[in-house]
Amino acid sequence: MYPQSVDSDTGPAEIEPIIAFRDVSKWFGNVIGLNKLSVCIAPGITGLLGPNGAGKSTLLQLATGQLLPSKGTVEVLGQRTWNNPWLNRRIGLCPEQDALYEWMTGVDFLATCARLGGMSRTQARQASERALETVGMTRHGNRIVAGYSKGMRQRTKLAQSLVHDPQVLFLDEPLTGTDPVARHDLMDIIQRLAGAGKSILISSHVLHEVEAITSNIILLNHGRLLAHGHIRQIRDLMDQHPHRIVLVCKDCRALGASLIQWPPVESIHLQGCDQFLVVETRQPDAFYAGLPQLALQTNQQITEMYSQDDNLEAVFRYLVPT
Amino acid sequence: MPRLTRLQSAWALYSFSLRQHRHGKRWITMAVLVLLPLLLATLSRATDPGVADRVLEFDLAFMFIPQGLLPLLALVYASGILQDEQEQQTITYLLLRPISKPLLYVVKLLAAITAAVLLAWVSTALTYAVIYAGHIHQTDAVPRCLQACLIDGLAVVTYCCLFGLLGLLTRRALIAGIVYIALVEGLLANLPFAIRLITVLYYTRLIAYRALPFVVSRPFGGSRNIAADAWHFHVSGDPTLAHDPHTWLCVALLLGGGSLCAAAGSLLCRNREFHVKTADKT
Repeated sequence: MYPQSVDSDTGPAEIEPIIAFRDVSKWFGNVIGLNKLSVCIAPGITGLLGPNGAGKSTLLQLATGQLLPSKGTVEVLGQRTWNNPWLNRRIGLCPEQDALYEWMTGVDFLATCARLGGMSRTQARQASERALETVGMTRHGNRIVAGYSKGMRQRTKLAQSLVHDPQVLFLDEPLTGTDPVARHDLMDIIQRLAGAGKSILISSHVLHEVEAITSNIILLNHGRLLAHGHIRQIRDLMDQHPHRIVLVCKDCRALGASLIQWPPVESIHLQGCDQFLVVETRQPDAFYAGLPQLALQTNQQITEMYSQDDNLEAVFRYLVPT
Repeated sequence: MPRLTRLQSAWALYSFSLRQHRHGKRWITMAVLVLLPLLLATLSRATDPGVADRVLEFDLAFMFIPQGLLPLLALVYASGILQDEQEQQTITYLLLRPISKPLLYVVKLLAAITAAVLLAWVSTALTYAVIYAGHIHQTDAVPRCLQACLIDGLAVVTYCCLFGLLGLLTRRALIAGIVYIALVEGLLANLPFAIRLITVLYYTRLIAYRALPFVVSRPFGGSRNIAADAWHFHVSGDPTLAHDPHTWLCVALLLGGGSLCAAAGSLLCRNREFHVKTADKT
């Protein structure tokens, strides 16, 4: 049984949504890609999360008009996406698949994409140079794409989605396969693009990547919407699950012995060769309020305390039962 | 969308598609195909210097090229117009542009036609050059070559439209195309029955028969029309083939059939999902 989604119909914001899925289902023969999905996405960066096969790419392909919903409607910027090429001037997609025209140079590929968008040769050249600069590929623009590293290919794919200066960007696993440096750079680029006023829907199955970019997320699993909203909001809704709090102290065993008798505490786990305690509680407010008093009473010095539940891993662990 | 922008997009797509045809392994196949009649002409000349120019021309430019080379050229270029992009997963870059899918198909079809027609012309011209080597200006080889090129072009346009549609109807378009070439254009077109009316080859042969003389002298006197014999045209009672479709009707049927296939293809594209599989798919 899945927890209720935070905002199943209207989304977290009251402002005009840029992307709206209304009761959307998509089947591929007997395989279901998306199942009765209703979600409205507000401007800004939104993370699209879910394990492989959750329906993230299907959602992006529906949003970019590549797929026709089997049921329901998909709108981006207030327009239907299916068979609406005019909308493509205002949206950009960085696809997941590592496919490029290998015989072209980076700048040639981008200029071609720009020209396919209706730009003149001069405009296309300028736009491609601008896009290359945005993704930090100016130095490599004249090299053949076949010789690009994975990071360079991801940047090039991102650049082609930007070359026509779209209002909304869809990024399908843009960080997959990149090294830590490229990953950091790409995350930085994505945040700069959002800062420049672009709305971005970024999909990933690596939770901490998305967490570093945005707190606003959509969680999918088996084609269903699990949750939509701010990570903290989602976590707050899951009161039926115990919160996990890590305590680091000098004598964890002694502290644990005291804690286990305390009503707010559900369970304790000594971990890291007794270096820290993981406490599970269903009353986090009572726990946080009473812990200083308990520490004083037992004369235990707690050197570090943090919640394991404010990150996406925890949210995901709760929402996607294994 | 403004008309000028749409035209610019379409022109960019056309030139890009032409550039695509110049890359990849397909070129090796194309080079072999295009040079094959040339090779055959050279071999025939080397092994049998006495063979009449007109006979060699007929065998290669009007039998081998239209029946073997042209449909294969068209099949290779047109059957993968969008299928190749889909298999290589690059179709996303085209679908995400402000170009409608029917226009995308038609423009890419035009680029495929251009590439196939150019190659067909090169092959025909080179074949004529070898057949009439040394005395090309002393004969009517140049105007005959030009007419042969025009007829070849017409056939290639029709084949491209047909195989383009086939590429949308089946994933195994190459196999289906080869079966079509062998059965319909190879077998049915050579049967002296009305069934050949459904073949492209029949109409191109009619046009060629009426446009060009194929009369050769017999070794022991007299002459014969090698085309009428080989193509099973009933010329004994009807020397002008008045009961067969007129030349302009043949042209109209070929172009009309091609246009119908192109229109059907673009209509099919309009509501077709070109789904690119990702690791995300269950």
